[in-house]
Amino acid sequence: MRHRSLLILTATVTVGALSLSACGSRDGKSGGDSGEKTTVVIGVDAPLTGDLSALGQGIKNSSDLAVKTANKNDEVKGVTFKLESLDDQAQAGTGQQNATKLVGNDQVVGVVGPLNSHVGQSMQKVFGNAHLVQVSPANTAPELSQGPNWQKGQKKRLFDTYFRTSTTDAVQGPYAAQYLYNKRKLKKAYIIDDKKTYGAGLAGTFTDEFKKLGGKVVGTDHINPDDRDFSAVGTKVAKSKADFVYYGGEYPAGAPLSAQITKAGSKALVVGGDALYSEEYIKLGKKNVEGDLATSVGAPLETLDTAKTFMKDYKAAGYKLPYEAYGGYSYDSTWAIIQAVKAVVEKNDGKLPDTIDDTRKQITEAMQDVRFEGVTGDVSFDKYGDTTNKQLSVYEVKDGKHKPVKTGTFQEG
Amino acid sequence: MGDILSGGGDRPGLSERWDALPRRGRQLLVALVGCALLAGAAVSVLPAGPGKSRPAHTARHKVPYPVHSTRIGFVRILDVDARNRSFRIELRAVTKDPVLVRRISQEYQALTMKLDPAQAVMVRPERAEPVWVRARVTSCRDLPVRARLPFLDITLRNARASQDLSFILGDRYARALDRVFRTVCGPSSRR
Repeated sequence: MRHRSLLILTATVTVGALSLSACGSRDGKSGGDSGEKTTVVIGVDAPLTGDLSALGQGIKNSSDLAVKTANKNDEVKGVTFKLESLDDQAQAGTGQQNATKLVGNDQVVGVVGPLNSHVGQSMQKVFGNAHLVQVSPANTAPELSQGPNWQKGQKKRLFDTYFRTSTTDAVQGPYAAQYLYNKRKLKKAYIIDDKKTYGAGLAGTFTDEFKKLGGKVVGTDHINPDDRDFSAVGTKVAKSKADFVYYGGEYPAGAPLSAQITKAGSKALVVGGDALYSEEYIKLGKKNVEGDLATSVGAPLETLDTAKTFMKDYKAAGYKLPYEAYGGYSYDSTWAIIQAVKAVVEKNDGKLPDTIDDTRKQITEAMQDVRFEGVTGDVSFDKYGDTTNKQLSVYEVKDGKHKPVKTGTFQEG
Repeated sequence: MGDILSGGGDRPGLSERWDALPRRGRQLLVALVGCALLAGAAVSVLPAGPGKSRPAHTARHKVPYPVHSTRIGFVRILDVDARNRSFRIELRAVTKDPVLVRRISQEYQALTMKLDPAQAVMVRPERAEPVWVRARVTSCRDLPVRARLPFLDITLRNARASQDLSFILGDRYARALDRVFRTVCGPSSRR
């Protein structure tokens, strides 16, 4: 009896295996996918140490998750992806050195990053000369994709290797101005920036729109982003009776600035862009930053069904730090490179071109047509390399957390 | 202790049924079971095909929030009535899932807006739906002109949720609005 059962089981498996031809179709090339695999590298550049490392580590981890997912699913037949992450410390010079290093590695087929717009600016030419595609999940300064004269309506793409998945400050600043002036009825602003490409640019687009709406700028200041003592500025803000402070800059200085404005006796909210939308802002500023506002790219991930698996997988992967503001965008940036590689492999009869130069050129060309449903929504790029998914949200610090209060979509008619 | 029958009954057991089958019947059954097992294994093990190769996605279809399924664009401004300081705005809505456009406003102090006619507009996935808005300037003082990115606040409801969203209609809308403000209020309305 026992022998008979074993015989039945064995016969079932054997016949089942032999009956593959009856279950599906095969082209007779058995073992066609058993060939050797090519390993390619996706570079990541972000601030992995220093004040902005929370955002940088979120970028690195999210890219890592995308690479692991692609390898696990055998997303591109015959290709294994590897990640090489470099720390730019939020410094333009270091970013440029990293770009040169990545270009010099003939396994690198694309780069995700960086976080900071001024770092992105320093890398663009290096990648452009090498035809190496770059997809930033976080650069928001419009000139990176649209050229220095974008505000005069003279948009010009300078590097066809540059793409980004985040919305630009061309939308973020004016959206914040419209929201604060019309919705919140806040009419008196004190404008502060950190003199960097991102901070000064964002404060500029905000101020321009705010004034056009009828808002009054009651004071302006520039700060050094490495300082932590802003008591003098806090006193000036308190005297100005501003309804709010618009800060163009990042959270490491933004949080103590907000705290010291409160301590100086001002009731002004501090409002800023995506670089204030970090858990670190609240950790650093504690209760002093309650009520502060930040705009950030995209809709809240919690409203995206496509993001839920990402959030679950990120947690399951056991990364020590959260994915932060740009996690979803980093995953999508990495996935965009993977999809471009896939398109090139498919175009070249199942393999990558013979030379790295040709591979990089073709991947850059393929990136323009990449289109997929990503963690952050539909991912594709316009003629400037900007994302076509131009959503952004306003978040308010409530009970020690950033809570979404408004989401907007930019839709050019 | 004697043997204990722990199962059975009066129906034939599996092995007895197997023995009773003719040879061809046994072969056919084995092939069918094999196919079923392999198909099941393939579905659970093989990666998704090219069209389904999405990052970390769930396969099940769930109606997305309105913000992710609906797009509203600006078409034109028309029927400008300088005497009554009123005008109409034509918008166009497209959606992936049925959605109801319930309310439209622009949070300008000197501007009122309402759907025209004043009832919610159902938008279905099959085609773009025009949405009409009646707007009126209530005061020419402090009317914002030359603003670059005015947006509409629109309440949308679908099977998933009701959301109050901003739709930033871009440069063409901003310029059209600017022109109509100057028309109904005159050049003196310029800031």
